[in-house]
Amino acid sequence: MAAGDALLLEIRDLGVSFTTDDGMVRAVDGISLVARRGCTLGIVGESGSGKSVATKAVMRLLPANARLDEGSRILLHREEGEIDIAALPARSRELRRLRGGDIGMIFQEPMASFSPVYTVGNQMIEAILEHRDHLERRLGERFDRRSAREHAIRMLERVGMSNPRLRIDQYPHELSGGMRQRAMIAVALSTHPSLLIADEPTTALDVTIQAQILDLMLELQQELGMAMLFITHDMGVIARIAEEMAVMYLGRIVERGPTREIIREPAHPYTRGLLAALPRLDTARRRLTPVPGDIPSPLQRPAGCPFHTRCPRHMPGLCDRILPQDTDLGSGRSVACHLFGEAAS
Amino acid sequence: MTAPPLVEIRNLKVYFGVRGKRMLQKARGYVRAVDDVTLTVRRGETLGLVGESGSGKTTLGRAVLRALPVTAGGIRFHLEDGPVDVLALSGRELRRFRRHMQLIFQDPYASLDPRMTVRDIIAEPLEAPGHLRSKREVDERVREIAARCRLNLEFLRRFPHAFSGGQRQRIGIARALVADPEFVVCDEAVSALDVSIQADILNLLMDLQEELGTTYLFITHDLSVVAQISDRVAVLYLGRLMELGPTAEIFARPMHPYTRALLSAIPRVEAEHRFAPVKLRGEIPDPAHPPQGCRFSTRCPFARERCREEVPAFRELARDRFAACHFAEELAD
Ligand SMILES: Nc1ncnc2c1ncn2[C@@H]1O[C@H](COP(=O)(O)OP(=O)(O)OP(=O)(O)O)[C@@H](O)[C@H]1O
Ligand SMILES: Nc1ncnc2c1ncn2[C@@H]1O[C@H](COP(=O)(O)OP(=O)(O)OP(=O)(O)O)[C@@H](O)[C@H]1O
Ligand code: SF4
Ligand SMILES: [Mg+2]
Ligand SMILES: [Mg+2]
Repeated sequence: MAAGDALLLEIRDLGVSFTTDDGMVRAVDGISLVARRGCTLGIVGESGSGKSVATKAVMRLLPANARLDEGSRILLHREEGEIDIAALPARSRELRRLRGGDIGMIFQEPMASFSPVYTVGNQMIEAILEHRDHLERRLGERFDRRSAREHAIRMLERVGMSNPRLRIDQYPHELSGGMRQRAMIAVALSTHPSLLIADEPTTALDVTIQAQILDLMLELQQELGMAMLFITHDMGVIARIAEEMAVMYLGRIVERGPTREIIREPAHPYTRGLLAALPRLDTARRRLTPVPGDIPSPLQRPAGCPFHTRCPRHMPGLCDRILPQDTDLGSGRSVACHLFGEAAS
Repeated sequence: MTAPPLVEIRNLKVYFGVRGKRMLQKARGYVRAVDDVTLTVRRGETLGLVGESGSGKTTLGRAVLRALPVTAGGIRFHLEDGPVDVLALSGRELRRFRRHMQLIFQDPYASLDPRMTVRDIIAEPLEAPGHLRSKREVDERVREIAARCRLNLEFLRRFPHAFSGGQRQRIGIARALVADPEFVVCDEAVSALDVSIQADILNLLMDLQEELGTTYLFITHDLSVVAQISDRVAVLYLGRLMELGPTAEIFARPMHPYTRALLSAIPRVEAEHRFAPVKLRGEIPDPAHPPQGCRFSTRCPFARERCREEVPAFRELARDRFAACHFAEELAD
C-alpha cells in the first residue's frame, strides 16, 4: 500500500453556513478529513448531517446563500503541485478545470447531471474535450472529436454497458436506472480523475444492481489508482466499499478510523447507537434498539456536544456545555466525545 | 401449529394496459404487474413481501385492499363470522368492509392532510360506515391509540407540518389502527426514515401487533427490515412469486436462485452468508416484455434450456417452503 498511501485531498476546518429566512443554518461545522490515492474514505451519517454540503463545498458547488468559513482549507495535492480549492475565485478557469477533470463526481440522481436534450455520447465527448489538457497529462494522448468518441465508447464498455456503440447515441431517458448510473460513472471516469466524489451513487438502485455498481467502482478504482470519497447513509455499503470511514452528526465528524475496527468496536455513543439500531439479517423478530429522540432542527443546534440531547451517556454540566474535541485512540482512530477526552478522567 | 388463514389470495392477476408512443393509440399490450399469485396470509402473522422495484409489491398490496381493479383471480377474507369474497362486494358493502383493512404507506409527509389537526387525521377511519359512535367515544379511542403509538397527547390539537418524520409515521400508524382493523398493508412504511428512527417504528409495529393481534402484509425492498419484522417472507420477481417460507429458514437457506442472488447482494455489516453467494449480471427486464419460461431465466446463472421454455410451477419443496424453480432441489446446497 506504500504508493496508495499518498495524500491526495486534505480538508481542514471546513465550515459552511446558510442564510435562510428562518435564520442561520450551520450545515458543516469545522470538519477535517484526508483522502489517499487508491483508497476510499466513506462518509456516513443520517439525513441532514451535512454530507452533501461538505462534498459540494469540496467542488465549490455551493448555492448562493451558502458561506464557506474564512479558515477553510481544501488542499489537493497534485503531481504538478498543491492547490487550495477553498481559495480559488468562484468563477475561475482553474475551478472549472478541476471539476470533471482532476475531480470526478457522481450524484444520487443521475438525471440531475445529464442534460435531457443531448445524447449520452455528446455529453461525454464534450467533457473529454474540455479536459483534454488534463487527459494528455494523465494518458499522454491528445484527443480530438473522433478519438474522444472512441474513448467514450471504451469507457461505456468498461462500465459494463451492452452494445456501447448503440448506447452512445441514445438520450439519457432511453436508459434504465441502472444503465444511467453506469453512464454517469463512465462520464465521471472518462477524464481519469485522481479523486472521485460519489454522493449516494447507489441509493436509488435495487440491491442486485447496487452490488454490480459497487463491484465496478472498486475495480475501476484499482485500475486507475484514484482516491474515492464515498457518501452514504448505509452502514452496509460503507462496510463493503470503504477502508476508512468518518461518521457525521449535525455537521461534525464524531468518529473516524478504519471501517472494520469501527464496526467491530464503535467508540462514540452515536456510532454505537447507529449500529445497534440496524436491522440484522440473522435475527428474526428481535426488538431493535433505537437511538432515543429526534435529530434536532438545524436551526437549533444544541450547545456543547451536538449529540448530547439523544446521548444515553450524556454527562450533565459537561456535555451540554463544552464541545468535545477529537481524541486520538491510536491505530488511526479518533473520537470526539467527553467520555474519551481528558475531561472525563 | 400454523395459524388459520386470514386472507387467501388465489391466482391473482392485475394487468395494466400500456399505450403506444402516441397519445391516442390503443393499448398495445399489458404490464403483468401481478401474474398468477397464490398466497395465504395467516391470522396474526407478519408476512414480508420483498422484490426489486417494479416487481409488483405495491400492486399486489393495493389489489388485496381492492384499491385497484383486479384482472382475474380470487381474494377471500376469513372473518370471525365466516369467509367474505372481497372481489364480489358491491360499492356499499365494500365501504362497510373497509374497516377490516388499512394501509400505511411510505411518505408520512405526503399522506397527511396539512389542514387537519392530528386528532382529526387519526379519527378519520372512525367516520366510515359501521362506526356509529359519539364524539366522546371517538375522542376516547383517539387518545387511547395515540398513547399506544407513544404520541404525546399534547400533539393531538396541532397540525402535522410541525412534526419530524418519525412522529408523522406514528400519526400514520395511529390512524391506520384506530378502527381496530384485522389486516394492515404496510407499504414501505419505514423506508423514508433514518435508521435510528426506523428502529423505533419497527418496534412500535411489533408491539402493537402483540397487543392487538393485527395481521400485517409488510412490503419493502429492504431485506434486513423484512428479516427483522416478518414471520414469513414472499419473494416477487416481475409479478410472479419466486419463493415463500419462514423468514429464518429463507435467510439461512434460500431455495430459489433469485432469492439467493437477492440475499447475496445485500451490503452487510455482519459476518458472511452461510450459503454460497450468487452474483447477477444484466438488468431487470422490461415488465411489459417479460422473458418466456421462468421470468428469472435471463439473469439466472443456472438457467438451462428448459428454463427458457417452461414456466416453473410454484410448488412445496419442504414443509411450509415453496419455490418456483425447475431445479430447486438440485441447486440447494
Ligand atoms: N440551500 C440550502 N439552504 C439552506 N439550508 C441548506 C441548504 N442545503 C442544505 N441545507 C441544510 O444543510 C444541512 C445539511 O444538509 P445536507 O444536504 O448536506 O445533508 P445530508 O447529510 O447530505 O443529508 P441526506 O442524507 O438527506 O442527503 C441540512 O440541515 C440542510 O437543511
Ligand atoms: N397504474 C399503473 N399503470 C400502468 N402500469 C403500472 C401502474 N401501476 C404500476 N404499474 C406497473 O406495474 C409494475 C409493478 O409496479 P409496482 O408499483 O407494483 O411495483 P413495486 O414492486 O411496488 O415497485 P417499487 O419497489 O418501485 O415500489 C411496474 O412495471 C409498474 O410500472
Ligand atoms: S460528549 Fe457526552 S453527550 Fe456527547 S457523545 Fe460523548 S457522552 Fe454523549
Ligand atoms: Mg445528501
Ligand atoms: Mg411499491
